[in-house]
Amino acid sequence: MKTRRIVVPLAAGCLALAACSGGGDDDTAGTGPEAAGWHDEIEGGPLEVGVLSAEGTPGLGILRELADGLQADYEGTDVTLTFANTDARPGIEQRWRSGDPLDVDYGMFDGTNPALTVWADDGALLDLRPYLEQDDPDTGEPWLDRFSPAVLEFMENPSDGGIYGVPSELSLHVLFYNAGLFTELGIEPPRTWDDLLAANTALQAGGVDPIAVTGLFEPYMGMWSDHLWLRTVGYDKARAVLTGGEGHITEDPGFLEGLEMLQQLRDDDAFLTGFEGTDFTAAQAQFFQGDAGMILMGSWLVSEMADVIPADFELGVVAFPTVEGGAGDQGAVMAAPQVISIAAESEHIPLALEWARRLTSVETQTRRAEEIGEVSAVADVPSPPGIPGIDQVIADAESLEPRDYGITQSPAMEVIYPEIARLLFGEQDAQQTLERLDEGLRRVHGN
Amino acid sequence: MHRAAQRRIIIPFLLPALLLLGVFFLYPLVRTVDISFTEWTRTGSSSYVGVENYTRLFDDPGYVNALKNAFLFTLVGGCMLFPVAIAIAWALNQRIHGERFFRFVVFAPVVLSAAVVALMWKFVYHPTLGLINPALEGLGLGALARTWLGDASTALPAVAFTTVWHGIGIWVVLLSAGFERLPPDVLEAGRIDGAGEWRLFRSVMLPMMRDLFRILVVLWIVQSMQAFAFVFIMTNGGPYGSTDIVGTLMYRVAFERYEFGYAAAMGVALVVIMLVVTQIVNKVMKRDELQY
Amino acid sequence: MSSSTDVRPAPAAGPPTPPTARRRGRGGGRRRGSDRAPFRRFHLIIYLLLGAFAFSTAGAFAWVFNVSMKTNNEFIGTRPWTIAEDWRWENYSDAWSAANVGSFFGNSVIVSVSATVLGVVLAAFAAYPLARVPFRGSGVVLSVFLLGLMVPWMVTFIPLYMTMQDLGLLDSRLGLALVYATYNLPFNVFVLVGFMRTLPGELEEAAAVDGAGPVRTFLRVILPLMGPGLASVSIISFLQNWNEFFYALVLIHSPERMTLPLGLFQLGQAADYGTNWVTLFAGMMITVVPVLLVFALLQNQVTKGLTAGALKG
Repeated sequence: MKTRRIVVPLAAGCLALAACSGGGDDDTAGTGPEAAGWHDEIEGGPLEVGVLSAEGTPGLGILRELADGLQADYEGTDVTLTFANTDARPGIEQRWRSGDPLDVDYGMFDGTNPALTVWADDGALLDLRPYLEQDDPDTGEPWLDRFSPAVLEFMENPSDGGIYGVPSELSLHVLFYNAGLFTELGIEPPRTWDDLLAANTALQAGGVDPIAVTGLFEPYMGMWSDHLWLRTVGYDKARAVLTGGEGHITEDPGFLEGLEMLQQLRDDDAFLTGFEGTDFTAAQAQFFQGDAGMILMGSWLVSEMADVIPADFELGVVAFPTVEGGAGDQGAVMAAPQVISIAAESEHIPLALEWARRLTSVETQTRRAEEIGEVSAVADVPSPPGIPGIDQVIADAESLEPRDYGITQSPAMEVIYPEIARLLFGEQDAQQTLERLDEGLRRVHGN
Repeated sequence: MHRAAQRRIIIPFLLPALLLLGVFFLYPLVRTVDISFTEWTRTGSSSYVGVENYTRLFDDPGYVNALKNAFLFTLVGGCMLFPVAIAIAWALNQRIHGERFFRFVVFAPVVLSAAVVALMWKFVYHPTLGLINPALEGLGLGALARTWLGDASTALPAVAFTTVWHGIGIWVVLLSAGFERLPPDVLEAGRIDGAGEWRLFRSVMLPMMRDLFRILVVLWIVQSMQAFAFVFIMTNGGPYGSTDIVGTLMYRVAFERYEFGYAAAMGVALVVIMLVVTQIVNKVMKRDELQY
Repeated sequence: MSSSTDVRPAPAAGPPTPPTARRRGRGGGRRRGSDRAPFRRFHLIIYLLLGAFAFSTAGAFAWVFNVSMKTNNEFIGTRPWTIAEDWRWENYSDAWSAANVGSFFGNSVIVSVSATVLGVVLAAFAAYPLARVPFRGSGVVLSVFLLGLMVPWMVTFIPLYMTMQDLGLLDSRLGLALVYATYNLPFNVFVLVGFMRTLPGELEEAAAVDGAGPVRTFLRVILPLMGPGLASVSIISFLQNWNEFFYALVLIHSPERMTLPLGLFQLGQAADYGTNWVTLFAGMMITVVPVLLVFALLQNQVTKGLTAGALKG
């Protein structure tokens, strides 16, 4: 596909050098250096790297040390770390569109999400496969072999088989529980749905709300329906219906089953008192304060809350409970790797590759696991000690499935999560929810 | 005679402002309209789709809901804002003790960022850790306790209240400058005639400030119809769309779904709607001469 | 301020009363006693209303300050309303460096001040003919300005970005200041038109009789009477420019040209995704103080100073 920019930049108007740098010579676009021996081609130069960690956080500290190392090893290197997360994305992506991309950036590619393969399809990203297949100078093995095979589908573009990103970390969606409280009340960690219901009852008997959740951020409530449908419907089927527009939600009984299980939690008053008006920071804090026994959240929860977790808090994690007799995937874990990509137009591709190589080295990944609690997608990296049990979750996972079926980046978002919220808030029961979902999905998918 | 001389200054006086407006606003606006007739991909490629984005708008219950909520937000917020702002501005122009202090204090919240103010009010509204529900229970009014932001019937007013609390200083500054501009001899004459302050306020001050009021109401409508920050931070449109306004919807369409063409159409349609509404308000609030 | 109505001229020109002597003293000395109205019963309601508002504001600032003195653990771990256990001034030094206050502050001052001055001056000139010189098309021009307030940034920022790129103004403080000034204009014009229309129509005639040309009339007669209005729009423009975040985020990407809200944004992100709330609150206090000072200055000097000073000359 050819990009048509609405307006061709006027070269004469480019007084601000920064605005034009990197955008320039189109003849270099898309063609990186020879794959063999790319490592010998590294030359120092300016490198702008997108980062997800804000100023003043430990995560940024590690990246800054990585940048210092690169600057020390290659003369003339000047690494700029540009914040490229969430609210900064609109500006960053506009720079990509205008031919002034960052050399290395997050969030530009996800092979499992059609909304996120467009940059690769348009030739904006460097195909990393040739470089990943070269032997790593440190280990003597192909760089690609470092990564867990489970994340390959996130890195690979289904349309051309190219690899357009490498994961710097992995977020797994897991059920956190207050292990100290569970021991005290004699509750087993919930492996199955029946365990979960039993745990709810026991926690309530102990005077604790079972499950912390926020009512002010719908995708976090939607995590519950996402996971239930994973178990009662299965990933591929659910994805096809919810975001793919193939078939209808009424056709697979698993959808209603999942909604009914969610309704049961609501009817049992399993959610934190006042969750409807509690924002996610407060909900998470209340979990760590012992107001609630469990919370379903991404593995980032621990690094996010690191500062405020009480010293004596005992944390445990399990995979989302299995549903006996459920028609879906019982061993699947929902995950989202954070993938970095390299601009095809970057003027310092070998240097950018070296950044990616160092960031995904066992050494750096181990530091990130130990110091900031990130789960790594690189083999031989220990799981973060701050999340006891996560290693078991990873070992037991039969597959990693992309979180949220791509709902948040599709028009189905306007339909699905609001209806789940209505169900949780007691506005409607499971059957009504299904009907409204059916109506809404038929509308947005036009089927 | 001086009218003719005056006419010579029209263009030179207007030109610099219009030039800036043309380059940095009108020209981008024209391009936005252009985009609204296309289907934009995330990478910036576009194809012309005609009015499809506009026809789609009116079948989109999300947009209709967002418009409805935007009107509601404007109305509810306006009812919270104007009576209080006018009362405060008027009070500040009465010769009261500590007027300088009060003036400062009313303005002060404006300087806090929306992020910090929103966070504070989220805590104030918090159902169990907050200030409102425990206070209500303490007063024996526990039945009035709500989950505020988590209740579809109270969330919008709650966010509107926060917005008004944060921004009221600006309106007070403007209104109070309006009160200050009133000719003192007229008021003095009224007082000498034995008119009470309420009477003066109603029959002298309000009519004299009619133009300013009209402008401020129009400004409020235009501003609140595009409100974004507090809703985005406090409820992000929830619970289930009950606080979703055009600003938050456009943000999602543009930056989560990357449908810029559609988002641009939403924006352009909003502009047209606001133009119509402000014209109507202008007509309604204008009784006297026809100036614009 | 508002109370010293005696410093303003009678509307139809005529020799203005000289402004009150320098009001430097505190308390009662600031004003002549007779200025203050005798207590009336409805004043009670005023005090109640203002008192409630003052209480909420004071409470809010006290809360922000209190949180800025806590540890994150305290903030999240205890009820949000408890008093900080210890005074942790180091939060302020953390915020100072994390938000890059040292280097961003200067950019914020340069951009906000120049944009405010430009936006207010151009708006004052533009507002005058719109408010007081009837001409064909004045309604249309005013509508164009009004339109400037109506367009949501979420959808115009891409074309604006492209325009700035074409002009070579991306990633420059000049570009940002011009954009800010432009987006101040409609509001300023609109408000100033409102104020100018409240002035009595005989002003120009009187000036013309005295032989003053229209430019001189505007500068010498109209502008001085606009003191409170100009001060208001200056305060509001400055505030908007000082706090503006989105255009700064999109149009600036070199750290050496960034403004304070971008630093505060970093702190906000550290709070959202790392619960580092206390630094955000300390950063908030740091960035708020200059604005409060500007307001206090403008409120006490400009509002009166402009009116009184201009009348003297």
